Amino acid sequence: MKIRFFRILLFFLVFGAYIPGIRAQQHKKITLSGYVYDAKTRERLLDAEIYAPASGLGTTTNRYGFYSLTLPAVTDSVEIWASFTGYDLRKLKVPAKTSHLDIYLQPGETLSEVVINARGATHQERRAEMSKISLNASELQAVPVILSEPDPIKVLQKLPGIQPGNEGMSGIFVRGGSYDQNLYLLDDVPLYYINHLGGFVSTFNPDAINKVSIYKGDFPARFGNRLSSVLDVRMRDGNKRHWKTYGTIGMLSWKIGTEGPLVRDRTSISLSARRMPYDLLSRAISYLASQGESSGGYTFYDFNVKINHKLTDRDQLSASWYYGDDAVSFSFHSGGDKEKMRTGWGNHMAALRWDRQWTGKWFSSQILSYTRYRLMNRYRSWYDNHLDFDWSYYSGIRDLAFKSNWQYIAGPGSKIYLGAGITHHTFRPGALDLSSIDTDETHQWGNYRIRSMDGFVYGEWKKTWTRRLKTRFGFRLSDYILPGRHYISPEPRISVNYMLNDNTSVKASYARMQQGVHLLTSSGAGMPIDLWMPSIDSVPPSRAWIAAIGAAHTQADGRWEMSLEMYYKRMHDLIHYKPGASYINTAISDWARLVETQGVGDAYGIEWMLRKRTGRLTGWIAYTWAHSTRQFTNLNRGQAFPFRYDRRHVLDIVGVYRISPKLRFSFAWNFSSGLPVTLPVGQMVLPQEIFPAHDPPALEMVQVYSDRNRYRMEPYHRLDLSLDYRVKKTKVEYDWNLSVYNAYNRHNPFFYFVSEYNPVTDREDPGVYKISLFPIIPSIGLSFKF
Amino acid sequence: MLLRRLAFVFIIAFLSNACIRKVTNIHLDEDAGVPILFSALRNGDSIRVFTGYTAGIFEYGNMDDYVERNASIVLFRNGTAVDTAVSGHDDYYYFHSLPQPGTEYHIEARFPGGQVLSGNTTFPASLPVQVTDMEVLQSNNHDVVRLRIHIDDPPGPDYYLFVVQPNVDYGSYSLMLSPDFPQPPGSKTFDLYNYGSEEILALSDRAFDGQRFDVDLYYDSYGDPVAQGVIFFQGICDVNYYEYLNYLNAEYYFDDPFSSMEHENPHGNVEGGYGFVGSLLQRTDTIVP
Repeated sequence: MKIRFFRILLFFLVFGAYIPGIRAQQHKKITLSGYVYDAKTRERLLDAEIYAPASGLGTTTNRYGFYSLTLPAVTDSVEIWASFTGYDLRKLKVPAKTSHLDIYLQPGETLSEVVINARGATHQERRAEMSKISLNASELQAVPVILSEPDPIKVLQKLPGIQPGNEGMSGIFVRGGSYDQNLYLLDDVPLYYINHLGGFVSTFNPDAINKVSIYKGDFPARFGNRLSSVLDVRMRDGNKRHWKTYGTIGMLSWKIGTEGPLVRDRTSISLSARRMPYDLLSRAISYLASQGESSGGYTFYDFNVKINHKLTDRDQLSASWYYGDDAVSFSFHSGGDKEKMRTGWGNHMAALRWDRQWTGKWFSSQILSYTRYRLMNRYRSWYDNHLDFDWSYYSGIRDLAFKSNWQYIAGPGSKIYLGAGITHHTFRPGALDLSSIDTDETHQWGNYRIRSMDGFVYGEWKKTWTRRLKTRFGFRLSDYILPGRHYISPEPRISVNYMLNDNTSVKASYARMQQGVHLLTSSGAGMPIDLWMPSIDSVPPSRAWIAAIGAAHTQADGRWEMSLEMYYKRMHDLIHYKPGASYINTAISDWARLVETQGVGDAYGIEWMLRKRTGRLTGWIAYTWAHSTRQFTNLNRGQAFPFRYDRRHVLDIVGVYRISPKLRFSFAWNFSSGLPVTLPVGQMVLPQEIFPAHDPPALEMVQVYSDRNRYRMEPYHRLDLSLDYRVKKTKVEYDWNLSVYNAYNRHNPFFYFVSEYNPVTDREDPGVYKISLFPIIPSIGLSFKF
Repeated sequence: MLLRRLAFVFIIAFLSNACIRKVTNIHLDEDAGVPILFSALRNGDSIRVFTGYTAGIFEYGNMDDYVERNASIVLFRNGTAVDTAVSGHDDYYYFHSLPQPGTEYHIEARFPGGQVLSGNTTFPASLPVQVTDMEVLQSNNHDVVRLRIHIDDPPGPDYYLFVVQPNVDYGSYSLMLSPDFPQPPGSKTFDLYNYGSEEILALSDRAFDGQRFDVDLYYDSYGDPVAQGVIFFQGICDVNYYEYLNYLNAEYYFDDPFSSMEHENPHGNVEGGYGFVGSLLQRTDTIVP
């Protein structure tokens, strides 16, 4: 007995000291946090993967390049893998005591190949959220586009569930939603109009962009005030180590940019500018042709500036500025008489941001921003060198906003996001100023402003419950505030991801949204004359909810990934121009009478995507089957009708083939079902009643139209090809691009009309005719950087 | 020389490819032969009716070919048949009756092919508009007339129409509405149109239904003399007449490629076919300062 007692005592004496230590080690955790940077430029990398193979836990950097990962520390060190598309995988062994870890990744040597070597958290099957696609700068530039003008919007239009409007336009229509239902963010600041040249080119200069993400549904709670999508565009911070200059001479625009350190490793600046040069030519030609009496032209231009400053290891400040415009101008003069006309439309944006890592677990981002879109017309005439007449029209919208976003790492696999914000909107729907100096008359129409506010708070919890189950529960409370009235919208945001095995998951999501601003548009595709208007009593905010289920699979080696999603979206309180309404009338204050309200929209569809991410050949195949309708009591006799951009089938095949390190070939083929169209189907003799009515009304033939969007245009299909050749001479790298738009010269339909005569031959040949816009268009461009 | 030739060839090739072609994937369901009935009742005029047919979109006959001159048309007043229309010489039929205020009318047309079309309208009981004040203001060296009007609106939806013209032979026929058209304090938004092609001010009573309503109208003469007064045309109509005017205003712009209007069909309240039956009670006053 005594011996047994002493043996037990000896056991505890020898091993007892270790027992608390062992227990303590079993519960010991470390939290690593920091930023992931490009090793050469010190640019923050967004959505980079951080993965701990021992525990199988991983995370990604957030929208500001920051990550935080809590891991069990079983040994004295932990192994961390970090990777990002286009960069070499980095493996690190980090002491368990480490808390702050900034990681620097070396860019890969390939031209634009997408390389993923780590099985990490960004793989689609592992993400809690769904309906999100991200593209980085190199992916945006690889896809062939018209006139060798890379454009992020044109690339997004080749993804499932995202459609273009009419040919060549930059608008996007996401899952049956309309153009105005997309939230376009440039460094967290909304832009209201994203088109140049009528939509041919977007306002996003790809040279200034770091990353683009689009959410088609399952919106994170921090986003709101739009119904259909969020396009999150992040600008480049700038190179903190070396100065770089780059430029492009293209057939559509010329670009120049530079970035570099103002203070090495601390402060960087990125500047870029772009301009369409043809107005210089047209002005010169018209000036010469008219012997100096007239000149005119059209141009667009934009500027991007961003300064990023690392205040401390935990604080980063950045300032972004964007200015872009389209401008048409003409002038005529003869002797002392002169006329000048100028029309301009565009955006102006500025933002200040402060990112702070408070502790290893707390991160915050505060953003103060300004955005303005305006359309301006001005006409002036001089008689005998004296100003005689001055007419101007102005419409626009201006926002001042503050947002505060917080992120907290609650534990392994548990993140909490909190935030709040407020936006002050000022709408100026249409102000007309008319001055006639000669008769000393001045008139003003509609010079009034409408003000409203937009506030929100949100909370979101991302939780990894087990290796298989991840959830995201979010809630956003939005309040659209008008004088004497609040439109409060509770907006739950929920998504669930369940891993069937290491490579496959199934997902489901649900989200509700409210949109307090409306776009008065007739074209539906975004034109400068479109007007943003606030909700009012008789035109309340639009609302929508969307539910989706899907599955995602990535091949074990990461080469192939596939996704399948089905969605249903329901929209309420939509608006539409009334028959007989025109934008001209919005100089009158009561714009609400111009629109039909209480419209309902239905959209549902299936999206499938197969993507190859590694190897010499990369790219994707995307297929969408979709259906979208609208219904208004006083339109189309109250019957539902197809949405203007309702395409039943859309197929995109995009490929990028690296022939050699210097030579890349890419192609994009698109097939889309025809757009719906309303056509005249008859004629009617009708008395032309007038007021005051005094005579028997005259008779006139007017056309009778089919049900709205009753017919379908021909299917649309097009092949674009592109060849990129890179040459390096001493310190300058040149990139020659040769591309062909519409390679097999398909006459795709743009517009349909009915005619008794063939417009080309002028012979009698009654029928339906189509106008096609763009034939085969070759183009060449040269980019350089040093 | 060579460059010029190449440029010329390129331009021609480009233009010939950005083209117009006939399509074959669409077969229009032509809307031909549908009967039409049209009648706008006006005070002081015999009730007038038009009947006709639609033509297919690819039919290019004369307008005359689509007028029906052999229909049998009956007028019902408050449910009782009271009159049969006779054919005029101007593509219209005429009843002997003049519309009476506050009366419900039903017009029924039987076409030779057996189709029966009909429509209803209630002729307005009165035009409850009074001009209570007129003032001539000066603005930028010409006259602006302010007319204060008082409306004793009856219950039920009503639609008012106004046009102002200076009381001189050469005066312009228009009502230019003040850009800051004052809304009565506390009023809700009301429908207000300024029809572009006819320059009619149309006002619905949505915000003051069944109430007394005072509002100022402003007429900018743009130099036309108003010392001798203005001619003030007023009318009250039913919703069908109002919507029909709305359609005519829109149709004016349908062929304008820069128009923001979507195509719509003429407003109709006729059963059995196309067309409308509506009412207008109008009055003309000369207002002097």
